[in-house]
Amino acid sequence: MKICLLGQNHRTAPIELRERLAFDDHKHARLGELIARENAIEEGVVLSTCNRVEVYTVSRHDRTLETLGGLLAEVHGVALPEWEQTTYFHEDDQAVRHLFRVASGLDSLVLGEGQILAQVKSAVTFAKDKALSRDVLLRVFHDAVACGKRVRTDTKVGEGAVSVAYAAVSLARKIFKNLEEETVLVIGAGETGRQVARHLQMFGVRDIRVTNRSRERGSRLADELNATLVPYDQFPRQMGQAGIVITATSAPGRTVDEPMMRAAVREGQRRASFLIDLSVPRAIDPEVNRIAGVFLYNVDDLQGIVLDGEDRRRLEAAKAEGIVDEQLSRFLDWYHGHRLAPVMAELREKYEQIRRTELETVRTRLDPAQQEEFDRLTGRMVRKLLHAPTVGMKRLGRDHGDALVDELRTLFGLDSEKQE
Amino acid sequence: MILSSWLAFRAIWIVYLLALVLYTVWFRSGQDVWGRRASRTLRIGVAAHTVGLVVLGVVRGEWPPVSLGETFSLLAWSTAAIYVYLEFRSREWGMGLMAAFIITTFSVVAAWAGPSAQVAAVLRDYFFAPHALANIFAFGCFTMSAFLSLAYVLQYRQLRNRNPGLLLQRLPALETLDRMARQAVRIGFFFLSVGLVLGAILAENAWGTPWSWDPKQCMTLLTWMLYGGVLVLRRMRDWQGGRVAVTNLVAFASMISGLVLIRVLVDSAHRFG
Repeated sequence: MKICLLGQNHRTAPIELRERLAFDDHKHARLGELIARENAIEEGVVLSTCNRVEVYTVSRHDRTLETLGGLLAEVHGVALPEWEQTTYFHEDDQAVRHLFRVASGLDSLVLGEGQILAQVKSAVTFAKDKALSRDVLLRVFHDAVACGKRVRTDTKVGEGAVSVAYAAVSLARKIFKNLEEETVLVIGAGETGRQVARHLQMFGVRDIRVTNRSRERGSRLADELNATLVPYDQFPRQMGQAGIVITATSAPGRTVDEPMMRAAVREGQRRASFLIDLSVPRAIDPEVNRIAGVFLYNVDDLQGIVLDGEDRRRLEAAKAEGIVDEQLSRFLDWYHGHRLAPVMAELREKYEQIRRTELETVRTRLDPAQQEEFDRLTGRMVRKLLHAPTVGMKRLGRDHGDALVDELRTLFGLDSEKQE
Repeated sequence: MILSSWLAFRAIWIVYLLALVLYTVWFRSGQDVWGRRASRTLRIGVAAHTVGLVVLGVVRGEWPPVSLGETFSLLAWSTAAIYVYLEFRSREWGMGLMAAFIITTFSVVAAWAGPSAQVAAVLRDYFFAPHALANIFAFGCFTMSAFLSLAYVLQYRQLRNRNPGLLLQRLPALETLDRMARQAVRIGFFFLSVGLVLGAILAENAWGTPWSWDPKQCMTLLTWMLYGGVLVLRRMRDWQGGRVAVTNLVAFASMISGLVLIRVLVDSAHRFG
């Protein structure tokens, strides 16, 4: 029995390749069917996110890579050689360590991000529902999620803004009591602006207004964000009504200058305004920051906050790796015990058989008291004889893998057909 | 008598200190569970403190404050009560650490100074206890609001300078601090008004005239006008959070210096104990 991992991530493969191997529900189900039919592979879980595609399996033989490769090729219609160079294949300890690190956010594009934990959880839930995973992978993923949670609780690797958009939201929450009550005005249709607006939405903002020089682009963005489109010539007035203003335009010159902002603040009776200038060159005159109650942040400021956080997170990452090691060690104890359990059980059964058979042969020659005495004696003997192998197996199991199981069977003369 | 005085003075600072420790743990770890525990501990403390003070008054026949120690105990209680209320309304623990620190300090002073059995003649007037309590409660409110405004100014500065530090990460949003400070001032102003009126009645009973240009009376009236001014200024449109917070701090600083000056320099019939 072996735990195997075959996968790709943002470091090994470009998005063009990754997207061809990504799993949607349909492909996921198809792979499930194929695995169910494949005798050699007993369990399978697929983790498919925008930054990685990984397939975890529990299999019985040594040719998992080829088998799995073939299955994936069949599901995605992508030939094996095309993606062989960009994938990685791990087994047992390494595969599990990889998953533990992934769940803890240590393998993510942005160190310490927390979305992956939820993604790992839903991956195993999906597999469980389709009966694609049973005791081993369920345990692996359960422990991986526990490891991720522990890393996030015990270290600060997940703290701080992980993106410009997140930094913007954190700042907004430091200024405004309730994001749900705030209005956001988006000027321009730049990508980062869209992301920031999205993030704000995730954190409760309901009223988003969009404006753009080009009505068509503005309209598209408004649809995407479920926002209201505002005519471009009205944006100065709208600024007075919005607590948060995002500028993401590519227009030359300053779109917003100080007098405009002052007028907007006065007219809207604003006590506080959070201006996020994502444009390069800057769309908002830096002088605007002098107005009382106005907080003006540009791209550099926000990136500075993210980088600041990243340095701190890197320090925490070392602690996190330590936790991963600990959790991995605990899992492996269970895993090796689990793998050897059938062998130990069979050995015990075999010795018990021998004991009973031998007892039977002398039973007729003994009186009840003597029978009981012999019963107890042989029982003690068997237990003592089993003690050393049991302890030894546990110890060896950690360092030697699957092969040990076969060798133990040979050593103790156990049926190899009894292999589960 | 013993139990209630023990509760109100000697022991209560332990509970407040525990709350302070829990708020500190929350501050450093950011885990909600500690914030909840800290808040709960503080509330239990306030409840126990209330019981202690009430029983003390009933058993003794005289209501606090009767001495310096009792004044501080009431002060601790007032600050704790107003903070618990503000925390409940805003649903944030961000100011808990600062508040618990102030409350613990006051209650430690109270424990050190202790209760007193001596009661001066003027204090036997029925109006005395409510008058003193109202003024002390107002002081507690103003203290709380001053620290809230201080937090506001610090956070405002950091946000304006575009380098938000980790230290302030736990503080509530500017808007929340502003609201909390405003509520504290409003409530404080109300109780100060009550205290002033009751004080005039007391003065009438004790010295024959409601107003005698007594320094302490003047100081209280001045404070009343200062905070009244703060409340009026808030309503003016141009005055956004930062300016209001500074005004609040100025009012508080004035009040404190006035009180200190009076204690130190002036001899007034208002003194006792």
